[in-house]
Amino acid sequence: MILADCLAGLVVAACALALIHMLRSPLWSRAVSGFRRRPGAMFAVAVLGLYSLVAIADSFVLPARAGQPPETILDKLFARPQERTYSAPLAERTSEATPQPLLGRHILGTDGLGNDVLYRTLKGVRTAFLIGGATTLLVLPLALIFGLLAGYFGRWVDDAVQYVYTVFDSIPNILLLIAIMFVLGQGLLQMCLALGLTSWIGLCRIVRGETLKLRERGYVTSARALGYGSGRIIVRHILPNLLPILIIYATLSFSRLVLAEVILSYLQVGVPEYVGSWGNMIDAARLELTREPVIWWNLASATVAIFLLVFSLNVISDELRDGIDPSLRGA
Amino acid sequence: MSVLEVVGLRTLLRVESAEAPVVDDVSFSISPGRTLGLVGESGCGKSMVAQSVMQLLPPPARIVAGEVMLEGRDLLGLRPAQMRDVRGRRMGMIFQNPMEALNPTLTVGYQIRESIFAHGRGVGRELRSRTLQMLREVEIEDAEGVAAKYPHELSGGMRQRVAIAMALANRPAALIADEPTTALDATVQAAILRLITRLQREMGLAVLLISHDLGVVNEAADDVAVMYLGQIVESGPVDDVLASPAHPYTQALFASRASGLSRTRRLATIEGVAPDAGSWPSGCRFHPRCACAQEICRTIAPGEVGEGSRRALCHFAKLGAGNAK
Amino acid sequence: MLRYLVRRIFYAGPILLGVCLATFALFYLSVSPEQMARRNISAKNPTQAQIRDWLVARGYDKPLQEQFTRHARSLFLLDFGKSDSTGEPIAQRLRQGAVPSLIVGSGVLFGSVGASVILALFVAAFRGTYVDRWATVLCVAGMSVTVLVFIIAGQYLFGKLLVWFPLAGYQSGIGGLRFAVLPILVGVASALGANVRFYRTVILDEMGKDYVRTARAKGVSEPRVLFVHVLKNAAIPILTSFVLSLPFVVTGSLLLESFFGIPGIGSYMVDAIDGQDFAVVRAMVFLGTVLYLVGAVLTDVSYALVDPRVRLE
Ligand SMILES: Nc1ncnc2c1ncn2[C@@H]1O[C@H](COP(=O)(O)OP(=O)(O)OP(=O)(O)O)[C@@H](O)[C@H]1O
Ligand code: SF4
Ligand SMILES: [Mg+2]
Repeated sequence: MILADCLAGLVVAACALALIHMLRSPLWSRAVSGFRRRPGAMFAVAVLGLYSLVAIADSFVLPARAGQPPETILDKLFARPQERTYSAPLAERTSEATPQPLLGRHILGTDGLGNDVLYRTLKGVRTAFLIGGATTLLVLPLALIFGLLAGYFGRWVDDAVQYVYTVFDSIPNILLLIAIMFVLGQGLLQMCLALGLTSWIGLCRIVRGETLKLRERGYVTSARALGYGSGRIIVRHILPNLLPILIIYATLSFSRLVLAEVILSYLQVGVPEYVGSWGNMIDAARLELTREPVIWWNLASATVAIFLLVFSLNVISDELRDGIDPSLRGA
Repeated sequence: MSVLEVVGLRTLLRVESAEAPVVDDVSFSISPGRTLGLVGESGCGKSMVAQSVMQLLPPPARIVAGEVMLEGRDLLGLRPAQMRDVRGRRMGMIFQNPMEALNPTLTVGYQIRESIFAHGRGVGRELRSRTLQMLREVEIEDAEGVAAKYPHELSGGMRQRVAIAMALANRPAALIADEPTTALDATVQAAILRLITRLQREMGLAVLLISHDLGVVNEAADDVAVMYLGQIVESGPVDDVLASPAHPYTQALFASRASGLSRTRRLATIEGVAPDAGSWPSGCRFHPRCACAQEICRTIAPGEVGEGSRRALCHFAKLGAGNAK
Repeated sequence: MLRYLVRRIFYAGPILLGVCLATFALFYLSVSPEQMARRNISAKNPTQAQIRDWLVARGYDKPLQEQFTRHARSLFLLDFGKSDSTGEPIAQRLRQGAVPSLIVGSGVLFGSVGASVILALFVAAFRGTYVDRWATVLCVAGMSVTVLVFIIAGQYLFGKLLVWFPLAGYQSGIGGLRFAVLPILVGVASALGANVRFYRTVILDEMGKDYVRTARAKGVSEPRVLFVHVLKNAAIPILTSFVLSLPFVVTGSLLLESFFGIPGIGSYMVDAIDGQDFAVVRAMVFLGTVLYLVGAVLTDVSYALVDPRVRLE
């Protein structure tokens, strides 16, 4: 739990840093200011903002009353005596004891265990952000370090790195993921680790290729001729040029990771049952379609929640890519 | 009687969300067996003229006014299918970069054959013999061997010959050559140019030869038209224009060539993208860079003045016998 | 050609060895055999002796080095051994599962490439118009829906409401094809968004090239430009994505097979996960890798077939 909190902190810090960087550099601010004229991009940013609010609300723990598990702001808002079983969307609550009722109704109904579906859906937001964010945080340095080393130093370093990622890449991703999760066991952190280990290769390849290209640029060769150390050249001249690709890739990988979580959770190798996640929701909801009358609301709300987040991320990464460098289209 | 006649052609280009002219009231005509050289700085719209005539404009550009008459028929009034039939049959085109102008995945022979059967002409053996004959006509000796090759196996000059064979396979009336020699090295350039002139004589072609190399135009063209920011600013027989340029832009253009390495008299290159309507100066478009500019040039666009076969677009055009320098 | 193949096989060795080492490290080092034994022995509280027997029977009691050599040798010989939990030979189960997996997998593969290429050509023909813009948005939307939802919705709509196809299950023989239709449709639909978007970019890229303008200048008709000139060049990146997904034809789509109850290799894998069967998972990883490497060779070969500039060396 503490580890997850640290992770959450890290994710927030990284996002903030990226945002600050983006607003300061003219290239990005031009791309971002282009957003204002595009309704699609604005919609995506709004959705992302809303989700962030929910994730934040689910991250602050209120002082716990004696003998009770700690609650976050979100938990408090949905202060929950459970229902006994299913109830349809907009069903009225049966119990009275609601200190801070969001509404007197279950807006999206309840699932088989009587949990409010809206609450469960919102709980999934933080999990998705953690998986997407923390994994990306793991992937970026891994891919950067290996890619830069291979691209910049070439020779045996390049051969070694290439060997390592060819081996990883040769194992079909889903199999490797399952194998790793299988060994590490279930858990949020384990999942980030497994996803990270399987998804750094694509970026590493890109970084290596770009570094190879940048290394031959005039200012880099002249810096080398002037006797600057490799470290300095990499940090000053190569890294800044990689940033656009990194940020675009990070947005894209975020959305892929959210989708991957769902599948792993269905395969029973995802996050454990007690962590609210969309994958678990869908897995649980799937069987309920066979009931009569059909219980669709928990499946639908998890689906819509995933869709909105992933769609927004995809739109944003597309827009950034077009704004920064149209030649990257389709990369 | 002219084969290709363009009157008042006007083409707009969409930049961001605004449209601006890239070809502005361009007129010229070419008789059979004659060559018109179209010269001007990079970005002045030469290729846009060529692509407008062929109606092969890239999506952001469109023709809004004018006439393009080929053998007495207005091409702008044709339906797309009719226009497709004109392209390659009555009017051929060759491009600047022979490296990229040929499809890398199809053999040279196939690409020439396609030029013929796209217009439903010839079948089987006849198609093949026409292809080989075309290759021989562009002075390729090992026609069978080359026909079976892929473009990447040929040199730049050979590829341009193949492109010419493709463009002329149906014996068109007009050929549009957009900088056909720019990408080639000097000796190959001369050979290709000679080839084009020879074929032109044999077939009685009307040729529109686009170039920014005055030497090329001097050698191969009968008439010349000088373009500046979407307009033809001067035109006339190539010898007359070269001997006594009437428009200050033409004079500067020739001076920059004559002075060779001396950089002092060269034209300053145009900064930024030309087609932005807002960035075209008012009055005479050349006035900010013109050595002879007067007050009137800033506000009033000059009309065309002409004498004999010569035309110029300048308030102070030095036309006539008296001004040969 | 022969030299190329020899070289590729030569290179595949170290990679496969690396994969062996990686799986070995993953399975043997991070989870002690003891734990494995406990998970697999059916008795609630296995005695020490039971665990010993289990380990000895599967060779987990030998020194590490010997275990690795044995592990690597058997994998290289494609001798996958026996399932940890049921004890049945893995190879036999794989052979049984191959046919259904192949039917569904190749259906999805060919279906999705065919459908995506046609749609992408259609969209590319309308480039710059509203059709294009909305199609792109739809593609991104399609990419944003999880496969699970495609499966569940497809099953519900066609299997339950419309009853066009059986909900799930499988039969061998021609009658079994009936069962394969729905999974194939669902598989194709779920991949459509990403594929169409990718192919559209590839096709538009090619359409902007000079040779297309040359073809038009010759008077070649628009369909011919699209289907002969552009498609032939666009085939190169399309082939890559096609061959890269070849391994899945055999290993099957885990999700499709398990949802639709198709007894292929994919659902075998899912069962193995449920049953905590290390031997099976290990074998699947290795098999997947071999197929991937074969796929890479096939990519190169097909490149050389499509693009005359490519030489196999
Ligand atoms: N596909 C296009 N999209 C947008 N703008 C274009 C396009 N093609 C050309 N332009 C612009 O139109 C203007 C005229 O271009 P054009 O190619 O006709 O010039 P040019 O005289 O042929 O130059 P060059 O000698 O370099 O070939 C240029 O400023 C160019 O930037
Ligand atoms: S009209 Fe004036 S500015 Fe334009 S070319 Fe003539 S003299 Fe120069
Ligand atoms: Mg040009």
